[in-house]
Amino acid sequence: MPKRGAQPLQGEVLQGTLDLLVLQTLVLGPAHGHTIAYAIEHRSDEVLQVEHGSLYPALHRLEDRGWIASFWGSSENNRKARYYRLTPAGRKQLAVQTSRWEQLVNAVNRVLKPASE
Amino acid sequence: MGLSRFFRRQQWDDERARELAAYIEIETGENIGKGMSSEEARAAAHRKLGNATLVREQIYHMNSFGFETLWQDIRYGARMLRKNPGFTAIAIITLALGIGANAAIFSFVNAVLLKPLPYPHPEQIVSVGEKLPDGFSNPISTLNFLDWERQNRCFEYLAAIAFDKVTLTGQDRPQEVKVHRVSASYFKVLGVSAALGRTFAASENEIGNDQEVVLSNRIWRSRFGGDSQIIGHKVTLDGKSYTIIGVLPANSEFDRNWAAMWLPLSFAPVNMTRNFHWLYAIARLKPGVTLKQARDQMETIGAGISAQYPDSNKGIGVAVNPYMDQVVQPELRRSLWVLLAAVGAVLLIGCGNLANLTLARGTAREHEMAIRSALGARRVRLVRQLLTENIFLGVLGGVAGLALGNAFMHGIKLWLPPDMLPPQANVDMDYGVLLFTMVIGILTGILSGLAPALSGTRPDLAGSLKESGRTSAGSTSHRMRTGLLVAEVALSFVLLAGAGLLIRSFNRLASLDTGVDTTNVLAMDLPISLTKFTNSTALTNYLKELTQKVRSVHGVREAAITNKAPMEGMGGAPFQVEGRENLPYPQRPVCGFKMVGPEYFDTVGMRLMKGRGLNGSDVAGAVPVTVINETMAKTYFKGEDPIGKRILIRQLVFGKAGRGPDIPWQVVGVVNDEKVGGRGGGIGLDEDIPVVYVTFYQNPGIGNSLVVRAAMNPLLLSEAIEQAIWQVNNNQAVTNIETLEEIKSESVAPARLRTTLLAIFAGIALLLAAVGIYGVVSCSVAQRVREMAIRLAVGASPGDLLKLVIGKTMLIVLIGLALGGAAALVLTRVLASLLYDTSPTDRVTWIVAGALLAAVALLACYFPARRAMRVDPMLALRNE
Repeated sequence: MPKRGAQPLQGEVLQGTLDLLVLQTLVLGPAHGHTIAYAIEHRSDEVLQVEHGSLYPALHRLEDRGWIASFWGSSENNRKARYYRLTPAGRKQLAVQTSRWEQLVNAVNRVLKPASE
Repeated sequence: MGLSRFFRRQQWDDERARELAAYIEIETGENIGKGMSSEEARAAAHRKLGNATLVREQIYHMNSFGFETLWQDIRYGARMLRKNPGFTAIAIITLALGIGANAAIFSFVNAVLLKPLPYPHPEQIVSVGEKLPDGFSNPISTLNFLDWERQNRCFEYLAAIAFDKVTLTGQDRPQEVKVHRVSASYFKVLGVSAALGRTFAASENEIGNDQEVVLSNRIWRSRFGGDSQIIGHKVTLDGKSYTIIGVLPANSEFDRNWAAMWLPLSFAPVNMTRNFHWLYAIARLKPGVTLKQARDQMETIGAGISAQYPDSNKGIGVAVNPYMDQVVQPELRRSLWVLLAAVGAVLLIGCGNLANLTLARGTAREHEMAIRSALGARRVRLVRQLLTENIFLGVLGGVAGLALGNAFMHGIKLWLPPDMLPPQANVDMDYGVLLFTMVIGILTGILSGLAPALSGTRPDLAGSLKESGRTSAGSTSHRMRTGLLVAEVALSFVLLAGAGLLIRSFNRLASLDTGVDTTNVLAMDLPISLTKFTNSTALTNYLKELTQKVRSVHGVREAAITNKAPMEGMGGAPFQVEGRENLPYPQRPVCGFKMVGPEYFDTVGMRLMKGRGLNGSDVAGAVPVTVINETMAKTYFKGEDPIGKRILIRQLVFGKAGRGPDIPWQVVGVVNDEKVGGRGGGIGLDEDIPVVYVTFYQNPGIGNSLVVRAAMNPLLLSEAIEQAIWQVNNNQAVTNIETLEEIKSESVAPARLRTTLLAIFAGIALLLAAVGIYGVVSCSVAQRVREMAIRLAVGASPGDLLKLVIGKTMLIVLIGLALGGAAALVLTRVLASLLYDTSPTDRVTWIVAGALLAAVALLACYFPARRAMRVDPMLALRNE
């Protein structure tokens, strides 16, 4: 599926990283959208603040690619919620994306701190 | 994305809705846990989640294909168009006119210029002719042709063609039939075989073996009842019996061909000459042989022949050209491209109008766009929506244009003078034309919709919302509309100027002095078979008797034999003035050579300028005399008296395709120029050619016409004249009975056709431009009502407002005229070769075209401008 439309700029930057964060969050075990949203927010020390709604298209996309799977379950408070879990393909993808992300971070860091040696 | 997902979208969407609702529930619960009131908690949860509908829409999109929203757009567009029937009707009519004209002209361009000739491997077919020292192509003499045939190694087949007319008898009335006499390989060159029976075998080019005929499908159906058992039957042509051996395919070029029958070409011993040029030739290149190789080889062969026979061939080469170049003459090619360019311009103007209408509607729809954008529609989506509407319009216009174009095409075909198009061109609405039409329909939609769509959806929409429609219209859109208007005016001017030039040229051509008095003169052909007369005296006596008999018909004033009626062409003869420097024969200048009855000048109304005319005593055995025309006198007897001078022309031997020794023709008189060109022989109606006239007694020939001057409408006499002729010989075919007026009118038919067509297109362009100006001005007046009201309130008079609006529009028109003038300077140059006695920059035409356009523009903006004058300031301002 081609990417549709033009999202706001920060969305564009976030999209790839958002995938990574979602996958990373699910390593710990299945979770529903609400949990994932808060987990990302907390774990990033509240730096990555997004409207939680924007998480759902990302979840849809990841599911579409077969990296995560979903099922209906009960939440902590016994409410019906849709849970997501990592698939084996998703686990592989997480490794790929993590290493790619690290390369990118290193590269950017080298540019930003050229005189660190 | 799987297809199954696409179909389960609705279910998916429900699921998402439930998932998002679950988020709200959980978040609300947590918020309550933090001590918020339940309403507060729910509101905070919604804030945290953001726009749930947008999220769902985004996901919904991820599950859809492009065409599905496209279908939505089309449905929406159709709805919008239905809701605005006025706009839709004007748009579709504009497009249908423009596209229809394009489809019609393109069907001709396609058939004549674009489609390959209807033969297998048409690129291998070439025309072959003798090449004169000045580069022009000339018919071929028998011996030259036979040498080429023997010596060449580059042609798979080489075939000669001679044009001829024969008389078909044995049926109710003797009928003249046009025939091609061709080499047996003729149909092999073309790669065509008979639909019934066969074509010629090689042996049938031999004398005694040549009494066979191949029919066109058309004459087979019309004269022979489409009899499928016809093969083997006999038919009488020129008094000889021929066996029908084949019928050519139906609806092929042979049905549209000049000739209706094909006979074998055999060379009698008398035809074996090198100085009588009467054959045309086509050839098929051997596989792998290029045009260049063929040219080189034939050039070598030609050089060898001229070295061997300098008397007849010095300086004569061989011209080898793609057959297509001979089939489609440059004038036709140019006319077609000019017409296509003209209809293209008409369509562009229509496009401009549609864009203007869309822009105007865009202003009205700004509000709609702003709301849709605020609701989350992305710009691409809106642009696509607007474009889809216009493309949809374009397709509708294309369909309507196709219908209209089909009607145009048939109209033009009916109106087309015979033999104007090459027979190979089968003009039809085929798939190519269909495709072309629909593609330009869609392109028109895109072209006319793109600018309005981009300007109508520009991101600054908050402003539009605030102004809630009473805007002074975006300045982008206004600039764009002004630009479109300038372009429309410029294009219209180019078309008007072009049409004006053709009209002026045509009027000059049509009122041109033909040198003869065309009123009440009838001309007809009297085909006579060579075999009928064994000697020339019998022939001349026969012609004399025919003339006398016709002259005795009541109402006939004068009648004369001539080999060609005025404007119907002439024979050419290389000549030499006696006593001047002797030129080798092939280098002699050529003059027209007409064999006429002594009464010819009186019959057609030519004036004697000097000396005496021809008379009944100029017969065989007497001193050979000639009357020359003014051009001959001026060109070759400059500053001297031609009377008494002698002109050497090699004798045309009766019954023989070859020339005898020089005959010294003594000049006895000079007549005014008659126009010899027009319909026949590639000479323009406007050309003056040196011509010598001799009596048929002194130079008898068999291709004769009769001209008859009557005391009344000569067509009323045609029956009586035919009866008179048949009293002398009831096997004499009488054909092509026409008045000189008709011949003259027909000889300008191609010019008339292209002039009329271009004038029609220019008229449409002018009308469209006027509609465009009217639309833009009335729209801008409507939008500026407030401004006008303020101006009136602060003291401007209604007249001032009129001046303001008209002045501004006319400024735009003037800019358009200036640009159009600049473009026309370049573009009308392509017309130069189609113009008679008219310069492409003819000042009068240009001024008239510009004035006409300005006047129409003034009229088109006057009416809406008057509305500005009538603005009631109180009413207008209160409305705000």
